[in-house]
Amino acid sequence: MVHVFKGLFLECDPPTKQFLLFVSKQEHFELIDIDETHLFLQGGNESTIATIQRCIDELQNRNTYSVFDQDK
Amino acid sequence: MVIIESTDEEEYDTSLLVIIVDTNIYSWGNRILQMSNKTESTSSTKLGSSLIGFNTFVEHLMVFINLHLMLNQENQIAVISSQIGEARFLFPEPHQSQSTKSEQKSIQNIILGKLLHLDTTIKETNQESTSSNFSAALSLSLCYINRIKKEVPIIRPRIFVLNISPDASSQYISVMNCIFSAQKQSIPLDTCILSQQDSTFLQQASHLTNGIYLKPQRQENLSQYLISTFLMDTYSRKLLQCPTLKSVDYRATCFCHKRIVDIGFVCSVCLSIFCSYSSSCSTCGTKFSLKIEIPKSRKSLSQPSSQEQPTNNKDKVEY
Amino acid sequence: MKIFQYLSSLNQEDLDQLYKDNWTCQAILRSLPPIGKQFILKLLMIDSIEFEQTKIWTQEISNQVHRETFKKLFDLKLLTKNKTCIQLNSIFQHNIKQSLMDMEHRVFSSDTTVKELKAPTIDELDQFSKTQWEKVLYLLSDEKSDSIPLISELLQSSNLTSRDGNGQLAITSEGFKFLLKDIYTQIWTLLIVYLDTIEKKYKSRIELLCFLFKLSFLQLGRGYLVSELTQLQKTLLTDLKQFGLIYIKSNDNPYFYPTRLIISLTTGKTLSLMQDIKTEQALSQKEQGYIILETNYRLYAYTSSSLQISLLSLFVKMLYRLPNLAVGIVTRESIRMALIHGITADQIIDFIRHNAHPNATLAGTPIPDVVAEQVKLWEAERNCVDYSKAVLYNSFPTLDCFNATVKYAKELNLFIYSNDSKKILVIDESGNEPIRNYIRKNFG
Repeated sequence: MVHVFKGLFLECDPPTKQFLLFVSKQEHFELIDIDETHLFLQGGNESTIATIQRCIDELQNRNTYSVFDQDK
Repeated sequence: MVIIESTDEEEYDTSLLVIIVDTNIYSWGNRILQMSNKTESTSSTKLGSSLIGFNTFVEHLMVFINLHLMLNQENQIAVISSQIGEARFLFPEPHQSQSTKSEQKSIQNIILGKLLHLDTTIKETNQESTSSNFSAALSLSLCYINRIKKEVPIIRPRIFVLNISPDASSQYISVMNCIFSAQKQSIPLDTCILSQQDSTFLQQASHLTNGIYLKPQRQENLSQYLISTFLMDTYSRKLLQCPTLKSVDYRATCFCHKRIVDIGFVCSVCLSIFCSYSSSCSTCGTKFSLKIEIPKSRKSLSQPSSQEQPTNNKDKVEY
Repeated sequence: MKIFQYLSSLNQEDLDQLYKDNWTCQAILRSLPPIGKQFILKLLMIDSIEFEQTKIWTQEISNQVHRETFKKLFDLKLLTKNKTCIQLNSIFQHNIKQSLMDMEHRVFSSDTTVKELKAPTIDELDQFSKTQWEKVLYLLSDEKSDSIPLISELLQSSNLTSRDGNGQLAITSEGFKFLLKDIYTQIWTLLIVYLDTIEKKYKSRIELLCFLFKLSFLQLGRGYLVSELTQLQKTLLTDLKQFGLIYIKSNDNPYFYPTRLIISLTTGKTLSLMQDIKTEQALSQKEQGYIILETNYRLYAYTSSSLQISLLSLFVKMLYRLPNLAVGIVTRESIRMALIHGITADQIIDFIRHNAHPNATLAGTPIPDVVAEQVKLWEAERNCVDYSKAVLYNSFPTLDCFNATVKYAKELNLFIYSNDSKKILVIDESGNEPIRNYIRKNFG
C-alpha cells in the first residue's frame, strides 16, 4: 500500500542536510531522508520553518568571524 | 564605411525629428499641372501615378507630426523648408523656445499655420536656378541637432526629408559633406520621395546613414506610409525591419563641371574628382607633375566604353 | 511597469470603458515600450492582419522581443485575436485617429491672466511635491511623525504598515521593500490601493484613472481652472494634494497646478520638460545620487536628509553623521537585519546603484563588484534550504506501479522529484487528489 506524506520538500547541500537531520532530533520534527541533497519535512508548518531558519542562522553565526563589527 | 558607435543600447525612444520639407514652388507647380493633365486624359490610373497636391500633402504631414509628438512626452520636432535659393526654419522660429508660451497656440497649430502661409515668405527675386537649396537645409538641420544635443544629451536625433524636386548636381559636394558628418554622428537620414524619379543624393544619404528610403506607390495614402515607416525611433530600428535599398547609385560628380562621371581623374591628396586632365588640382592646389597621354578621340566620360583607360591617378606630387 | 500590471488585471468591460476616453488612449500609447508603439502604429490604419504576417516586422534575432511585446499588447486588450487575424481594439483605434486630427490638444483651460506673483514657480511646485512625498515616506519609517489620515489608511490596507500587539503602527517587510523602490513605483502602489477605496465609495475607479491620465498632459507651471472639472474630480483634488501630485492653495482657490510628479507619472521617469535650460540644470543637480560605496565596505552618503539616512540605516551600520555627510559600514550584521526584515539583496544593490553619486558612476563603478557579490553571498547564506509544499509517496507495491505514476505525474505537470532506487515520488501539493485517484484506479 502506498504511503502518503504531506509536508514540505527540502533541497539543500549535503552538509546542511546532515545538520538538519541533527536539528530534527533536537527540536522534534520528522524528516524523511530521500537522498544526499533532499529531505522531506512531515507536516511542515510556519513555526517549524522558523525554527529551522533560526538554527541555520545560529550555525552560520558560529562560523563567522568579522573585524568590522567593532566600533573604533 | 566609418560608423562611429552610438549609445543606442538603452531602451527609450526620446527623439528629435528634424523634417526638411521641399517647398520648391516650381516642383509643386509642376505637380498641379501633372494632376490636371491626368484628370483630362482618360487613361486608367496606374498604381505609380497617384499624385497629391501641396495642401493634401500638408494634411498628411500634420497627422504625422501630431503622432510623433504624441508618442513621447519629450519628443521634439523642427521643421525646415527647403526653398529656391534658401532654407529657413518654420519651427522653431529663431527666437522661440521649444515649449509654447502661455498665450500661444499648440505646436501643431503653429507649424500648420506656417506651412499654409509659405507663399507669403517666399520672395520673388530673379531666380536663375529652379532647384531647392537642399544642402543649406541639411546644414541647418545638422547645426540645430548639434545645439539640441548639447542641451539634452540623451535625445536621439534623426532627419526626415520629403523630396519632390530633382537633384541639383551643383550641390553634390556640400550635400556629401553633410551626409558624412551625419554619418559620423550616427544621425539617420530618412527619405520619402514624392516625385516620379528617384534621387541619387538621397539614396546615397539614406544608405550611408542607415536611414529609410521610401517612394510611396499610392501618394493619396501618404499618411499611412509615414506613420508605419518613418516614426521608427533609433532604438527600434535595430530590432525591426526597415525598408532599405538593394542597390545604390554611387556615381560621383566631377568638381569642375558638376557632371556625373563614371570614370575620371582623382587627386591623390584631397581626393577631388575631375572629368578632364589639368596640371594642378583646383581644390588643394597640388601641382601634378605626371604627364598623362590622353587620346584625342575620347568619348564622353559619362558613358563607360571598352576603349577607355581605367581611372588615372595623378600619383606623382611635388613636395 | 506597475501601471501595465494594474491595467492587465482589469476586466474587458473596465478596459473598454477606460479606452473610451481620448486622453487615456494617448497616455497608454506613450507609456508602451518603443517596440510596442511601433507595432500599434503599423496596425493603426488597417483593419486586421494575419498574425503570421507580423513576423516579418521584426528581424530574426529579436524574436523574443517580438513575442514579449505582443503578449503585453494582448494582456492590455489593445489587440484582439480573431482566429488567425489580429486587430487593434476598435475603440482605441478610433480614439487615436480622432486625436491625430486634433491640433489644439487642450485638456483643461488654463488661465492666462493670472499674475506671476500669485502663481507658484516651478521650483516651488517641485519643493512642495518633494516635501509632501517625504511626509508620506516618514509615515512609513517613523510612526511618530504627524499623520495624514488618508495616507495612513492606505498604508495599512496595502500591508505596508500594520498594527502590532500594542496597537502601535509598525512597518512590515512589504513596507521595507516599498521604501527602497523608486518614487513612481511607490506612488502607483499607493494609488492602486486608493483606486480601490474610491471604487467602494463612489464606484468610479475608471473615472479616477481617466482623470489621472488627463492630468499627465498638463503643462508644468501653469494653473488650470477648477471650475472645468466634474464634481467627482473636484473632490479628488484634495486627496491628490496629499500625495503631492497637485498643488492647490486652498480648497476654494479657482486654480490648481500640476506638479512634476503627476506629469511624469505615466512614463515612470522624471521628465526634463524643456521649459528653461537653467531650471533643468538646477533640477538635475538636486536629483543626483549621493552614495559612494568603497571596496572596503565603507559607505559615504552626501546628504542631510533624515529620510535618506534612515533609509540607509535599514541595511548599513551608520557610524558618523556630519552636517552634509553620513558615514557607515556595510556589515554582515546590518545586511542580515535587512534580510530578516524581508528586503532582498537585489533590492539593496539596485537602491545603491540608483542613488549612486555621479562621480562614482562616471568612474565606472557605482557599486563595487566585491560588495555586490558579498551581499548576494550573505543572502544565499540564509537561503541555503529550498522549501516547496509537496506530497511524498513511497512504498509502491511494484516497480511498474511506480513508473506509471511518475509518468502520469509528469503529464499533469505536478512532478517535482523522484528517487528510483527507493521508489519515492514527490509531487506538488495540489496534485494529491488526482494522483491518489490514479493509483487507486489502476493499482488499488
